[in-house]
This record gives sequence, C-alpha cells and structure tokens, in this order.
Amino acid sequence: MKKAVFPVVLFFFMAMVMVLGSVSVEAKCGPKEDNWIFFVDQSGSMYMTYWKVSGTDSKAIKKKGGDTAKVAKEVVAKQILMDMNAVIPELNYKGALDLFAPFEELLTPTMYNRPSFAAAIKMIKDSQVIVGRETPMTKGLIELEQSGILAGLTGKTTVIMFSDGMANVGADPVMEAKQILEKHPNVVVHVVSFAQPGVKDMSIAGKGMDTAGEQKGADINRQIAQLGKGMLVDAAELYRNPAAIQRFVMDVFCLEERVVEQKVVERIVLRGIQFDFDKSNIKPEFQPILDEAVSTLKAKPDVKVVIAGYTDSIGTAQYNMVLSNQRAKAVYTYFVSKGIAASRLQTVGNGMNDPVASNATADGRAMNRRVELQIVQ
Amino acid sequence: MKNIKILWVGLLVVGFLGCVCSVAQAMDEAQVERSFVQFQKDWIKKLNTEGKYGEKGMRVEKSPIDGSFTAKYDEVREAPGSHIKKTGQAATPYVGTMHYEIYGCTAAGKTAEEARRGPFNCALQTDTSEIFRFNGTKWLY
Repeated sequence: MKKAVFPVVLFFFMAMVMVLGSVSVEAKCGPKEDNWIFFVDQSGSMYMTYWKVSGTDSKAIKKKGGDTAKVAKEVVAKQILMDMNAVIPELNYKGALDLFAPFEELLTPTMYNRPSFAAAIKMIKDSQVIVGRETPMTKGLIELEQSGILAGLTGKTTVIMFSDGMANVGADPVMEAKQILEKHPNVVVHVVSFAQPGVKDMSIAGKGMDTAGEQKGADINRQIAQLGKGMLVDAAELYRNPAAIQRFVMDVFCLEERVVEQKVVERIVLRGIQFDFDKSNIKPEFQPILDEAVSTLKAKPDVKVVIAGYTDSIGTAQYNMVLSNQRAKAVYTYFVSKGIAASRLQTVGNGMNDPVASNATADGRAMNRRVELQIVQ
Repeated sequence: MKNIKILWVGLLVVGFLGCVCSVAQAMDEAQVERSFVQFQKDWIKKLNTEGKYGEKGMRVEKSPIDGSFTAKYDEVREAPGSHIKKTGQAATPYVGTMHYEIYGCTAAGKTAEEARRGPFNCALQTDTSEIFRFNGTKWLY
C-alpha cells in the first residue's frame, strides 16, 4: 500500500506542475493590435544561402566534399514563422500571411488560430529559381496597398516584413513605405532582416557575396523599420535563439496588463445599445447615443479613452470576452469615423467581469450589458 | 375679395394649428425632461440597492501588517449637470445624459464587526455620466 502511494502522489504533483506551468501568455496580456500581417519576401535573393546560419567551417565543408550545411533564407524565414506561430497568443485579433515578389495572399485576414496559420506557412515554397527573380520590394508594397487589405482592416495593424532588402529594382521602396504609412497612420511595421552585410560566402565555389547589395539591403530594412515606428530584428538571432522569438512575440503581440490597468479619472457609460445576436454592428437608432459621446470627447480633445465592453453572464467566459471586445471595437470604429483620433482610443473586452448588478435577474443582466468610455491618465 | 378672405382664414388656421402644435411639443419636451429627472433618481437608487454599490456591497479586509480591519463600500450620489437633447430621429427622439459621483467609503476597526459599524469616511473616486436613449415612451438600458 505504502509503495503505491508515492507514484500516485508523484503523478498528481506532476499534473499540478503541468497545469500551473502551462499558464499561457493569453492569461498575461491583451492584444496589442487589432490585426497583423506577416509580409514575406519570396524573391530570388531569398532563395540564396543564408550564410549567417549556414555552416561557416570552410574546412568541414571541403572535407564533406561539397557545399553542405547550406540553408536558404526563405527556409529560415519559414522556420522562424513556425516558431513564432507556436507562441503567438491566441487573442482577439486578425492574422494574415502575404508574400511579395511576386505578391501572393496565402491567408486573408482572419481571426487568428494556430492551425490555420500553420497551414498557410507550409504553403511557402522551400525552393524557387533564383536567377532573374529580383526583389521589387516597391512593387510588393504597392501591391499590398492596391490589394485593399490595409484599407479593409479597422483599428491598429502591425505588418511584420521578412526581407533581405536586396537587389531592389524600380522606385525607392523606402519612399513607397513612407507614402503607405502616411495614408495608414494606424499601421506599424517591424522588419525581420535577412541582410547579411560583412558575412563571407563560405561555399567551395566561393563566388563571393554581393557586399554592396547586402549593405544596401540592410540600410533599406533599417529605414523602413524606422519609418514604421517598429523594430528591426536580425533573422539569424530569431532562428538560433528561442528566447529571442519569445521576446519578439511578447513585444509585438502582447499588450501588458499594466497598460490596460490605467487610472480611470472619469467614466461615460453608454446604455441601451443593443446588438443583434452574436453581432457587433451598430443600428441607426443607437447612433444618437454614440453621437452624444462623440460630442463629449470632442469637447475634451486631450483625454485618452479606453473603450471597454461588458456583457451579462449568459454564455461562456471566452464567448463573452470575444463579444465584448467586438462591441468595443464597433464603438471604436464609429468614433474614428466621426473624427475622434484613433491614437486617443484603446479598446478592451471585459466580458462578464466587473458586473454592476446581479446577473440573477433580467434587469440586473440588462444593467451589466454596457460599453464604458474610461477616461484615463 | 372673396379669395383674399379665404386666404386670410387659411393663414389664421395654419397659424393657430402651429401654435397648438408647438405648445404641445414644448410640453412633450418638458414631460420628457421631467421623466428623465425621475428616471435618474430611480437609476441611482437601483445602483445603490440592486447593484454592487451601497452598504450591502460592503467588504472587509484584514491588514497583513497590523491585523486591523478595514470595511469598504462604494456609494453613488447624484451630481448636477444632467440634461436631455433632442435628436431629430424618430426611433430615438431624445438622448439623456445623467451625472453622478461614486464615493468610496471606508471605516477601520480592531475587529471586522467594529469596522462594519463605522463611522465611514467617504471620498470622491470617480465622476460618471451615463447616456440613455428615449424611444418615445420610456428611457431604455
């Protein structure tokens, strides 16, 4: 009997460790943006060897009798995407995957879930012809804009561009990026750079690196990240270091709870806005309530506002969290359409949390269904 | 001459009807305003009795430092500045904005019971406005 106790205790201990240790990022952060797009270069140069992570021991390569241990930049990009997908928190935002040079939409903006995104990543080709396929990054940016993808998204959008910036033909991609960002002020651009200035071509053939091209590519990537108010990260670092992937994902996708818990100095509660079941569109009869709120916010142009959605307790916690977030975003969209600066607004879904009345009665549940404008400092 | 008389009579009738209508409308708006004043009183009472506010929502916390107890509850109090506004929209002819203040009330004691007895010190925490719509017959939420 005593012999049987220890394994049972150990089993429950390990089960507890697994449960407690598996607290997900979702429990610790809210969505930092409403939409994100991975924008991946698939031009010829991206199918060249990424020497920064390939075998650099020329003697070992020669000994093995050939150009071994080489890996293409695109294959590295694909692996980085898979690694990120494994840890991106499944929050209430839309995700998309597009390629450029040439432009391809592998996943249209869709509420993010890991399996769908993994399936899209797998569609990226592991090999393509290199010669003759230059990087018309400007054309790629133009096609992203002309596709209407950016215009069709509401709220804040993050673009994460994977590119070596090399062999650009055509117009200046930095100027094109600047024009797009001026047109879409809610877009942030991060760049995962595959440029490898100063790295030697370690192949036996040793045809040599395009040193000037690599440096130019690095410069273009840096300038685009600066314009987009985003980060510039080295792809090799992300490929080699799981902690770097975690840091990048937390920085790009996670809004820390301390940001959400700002001090509320004033509240404006919007009452009686009814949404059709499982929907978040605002019907005309409820617009006068929002118009009154718009007038109030316009009279206070310096305040920042958190638009917080709340529900009653009917339905699961997760369902109500998503629903309340959608309703807050519907109000956000309306406010922006009426001229309230998006930079003043944040949205959060609080689900059935923080009720103001008992959910045991119909009246109490009606009191709990609300949208609050929390003026914060 | 006869046509001019008909015209004058017509103008007088239209003018009379206009006066009657405008008086009726002015009364309607006044009634709506009075109904909102009453609605606000009822709403604040509802928040304090059926909601999380008021003494029934009191909670007591024990200090980990000295073991003393603090009783807390939040209370809603009316504030000036409530008003209604005509919208010109048939489905929502008026919106009303009510103002109230949320006060946080605290009392200390050596025991939980002593803390609950008070006296309570109440301080202003948050200014709140609530915007409601009137559908022609009642205020909705």
